[in-house]
Amino acid sequence: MSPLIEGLQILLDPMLYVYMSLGVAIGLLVGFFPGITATMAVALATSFTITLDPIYGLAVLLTIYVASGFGDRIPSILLNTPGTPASIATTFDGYPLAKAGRAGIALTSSAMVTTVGALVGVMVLVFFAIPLSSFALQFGPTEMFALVVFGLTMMVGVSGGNIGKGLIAGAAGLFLASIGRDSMTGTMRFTFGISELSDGIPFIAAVLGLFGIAEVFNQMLTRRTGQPSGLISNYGRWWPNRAELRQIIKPTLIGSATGTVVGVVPAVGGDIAGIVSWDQARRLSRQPEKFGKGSLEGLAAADSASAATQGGSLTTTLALGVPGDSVMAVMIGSMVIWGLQPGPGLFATKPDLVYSIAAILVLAIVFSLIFSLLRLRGAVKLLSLPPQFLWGVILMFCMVGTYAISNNIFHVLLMVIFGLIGLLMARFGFPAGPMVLGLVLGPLAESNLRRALLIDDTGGFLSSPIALVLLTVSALAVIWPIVRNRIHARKQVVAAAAAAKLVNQGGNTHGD
Amino acid sequence: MSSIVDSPPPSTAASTFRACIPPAVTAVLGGVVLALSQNISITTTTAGTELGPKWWPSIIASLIVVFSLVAIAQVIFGKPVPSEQVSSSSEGKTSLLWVCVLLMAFVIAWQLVGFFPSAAAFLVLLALVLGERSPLKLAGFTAVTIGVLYVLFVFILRIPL
Repeated sequence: MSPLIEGLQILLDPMLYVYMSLGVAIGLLVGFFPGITATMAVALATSFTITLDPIYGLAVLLTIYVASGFGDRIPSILLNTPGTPASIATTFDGYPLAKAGRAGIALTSSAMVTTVGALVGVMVLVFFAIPLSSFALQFGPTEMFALVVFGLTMMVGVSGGNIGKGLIAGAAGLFLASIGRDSMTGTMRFTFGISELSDGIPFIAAVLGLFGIAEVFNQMLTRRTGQPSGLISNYGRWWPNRAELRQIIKPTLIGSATGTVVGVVPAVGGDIAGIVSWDQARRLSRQPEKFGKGSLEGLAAADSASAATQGGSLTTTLALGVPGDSVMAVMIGSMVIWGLQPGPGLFATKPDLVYSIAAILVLAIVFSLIFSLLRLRGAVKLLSLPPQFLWGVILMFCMVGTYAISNNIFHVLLMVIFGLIGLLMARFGFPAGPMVLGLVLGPLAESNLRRALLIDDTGGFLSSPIALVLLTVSALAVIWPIVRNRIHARKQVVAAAAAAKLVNQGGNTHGD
Repeated sequence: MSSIVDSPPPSTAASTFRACIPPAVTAVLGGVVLALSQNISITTTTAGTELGPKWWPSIIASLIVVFSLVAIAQVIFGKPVPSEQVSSSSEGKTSLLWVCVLLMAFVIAWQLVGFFPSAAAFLVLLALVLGERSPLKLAGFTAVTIGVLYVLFVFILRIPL
């Protein structure tokens, strides 16, 4: 029997659907509540899936992984609070869309593009698993640093029109990422004797503080009795029209492609893919000025990209045995216990497994889409509480979610401090996006640059074609917006002068 | 520049001066980080190596200073950027202050008396500070929230709170 047919036979097993329904319910719930990550849920689910048949266990874990990527968009769009780090970029345009009374379209479009992105990721798993992973293996410290530099150029894009303040926020994020134990020498930096800081700034606490808590604080600060609160109450239409669907096709394709490539690179997940893709779509858009202010294109690019990383990440995990992201790191542990050793040998000994996994993923995506569309209105009702209650719920879930990851009250305190920092940044016009980008990419940038320089000084950058291409594109990415703005400004001046000349001529003619 | 909230229109010298304050503060903070990074202790294994643990933070701190100066230059020489922020209210400031006090009290109480009693008290006091006066709603909201937290974290996810 061919591996394809053998692999797809799993679909005839009714118990598979029972376990997948459980996975979808857990995954959507996990995504919906800020602070609970897919990694945490998969790790906890491992305790009860380990005794199951491997294929059922894999089905539960994979479904949680996929479904959390649908659920986390809802609080990002409605509360400006990412449900998981993978939906950070969703807040860039999702929340402005919701504030503009288009929350319904934003939620539905997000579910649709997430489906497309995730399906593209599955296609990559089926068709390109081994070749793509071989390419990713060519990335040494030099290439990785060039890739990170490319990522850091997005600070310009996510600065929201104020490049100076955006760069300050980005550099501050890079500094925050350097707090803790130096990964190469073990030296403590900026910990001031606080042992909890030795592992660095906890990412979840920082993200929830900068986005969720800061937004709640900002809404409280601007509240006036008798005036509507900043909470979303008008959802508008739920289904996008044809023009809106046409509008999201291109960014969805950009996002799916970007997410797939980023997902293949080990240890890089949906959070980075979402931001990279959002910026790529902005650069290629006819209306880049709308990005960050409620652009459906921006939302589509971010969500399709973070969903597409799942397939790429799984590809790297299965083909190389190297975890594609943190969820995959947990999943590898379960697979080894089940006797499924991820790596090049897996496809040789169990060629049907890749098709079984692909079939499970496709089903998980379809289930998640249906469930998420069905329960969108229910979720929205939950968020239509009066502000004095909803703010309490958000604060509580952010605090408990942060605590649940580390069982450390100090991280809760840090999250509140980041909330205040986020509030100050918002009030004084510093965008939070670049700071998060710096926090994510800082450790990768520092360790890879230092390694690359120690190995071959600057020579490595000149001898690596991949690094050269990435660095050239990065330089262009920084220079081009400045040049484009100058050209645009000059055109406006010329057009204004021509218009003034015409008016003068008209006036003279009338005068004659 | 008008990104400072509650500021008058951005054409006056006073508003330009006020807009320069945030990047000036970040420039000072960058200088502080630069000074602190020079105090990072060097072990014998990294002594004499240029690429030691203080190298990267020093570069980043220098960048913060440079970018802050760029931002100040943008304020002085660039076009004013209109602020999209809603101005704060005195009522909002008072509420926020109380909420911060409650948050700190909650974090301390969590360690002293445990999560659930302190969370219940926090939720009731928070809703009171934010204007809720109905005892029935206060009790119902607190009970439901605590119940959901218990079921989700303790019962399903098995995380001890």
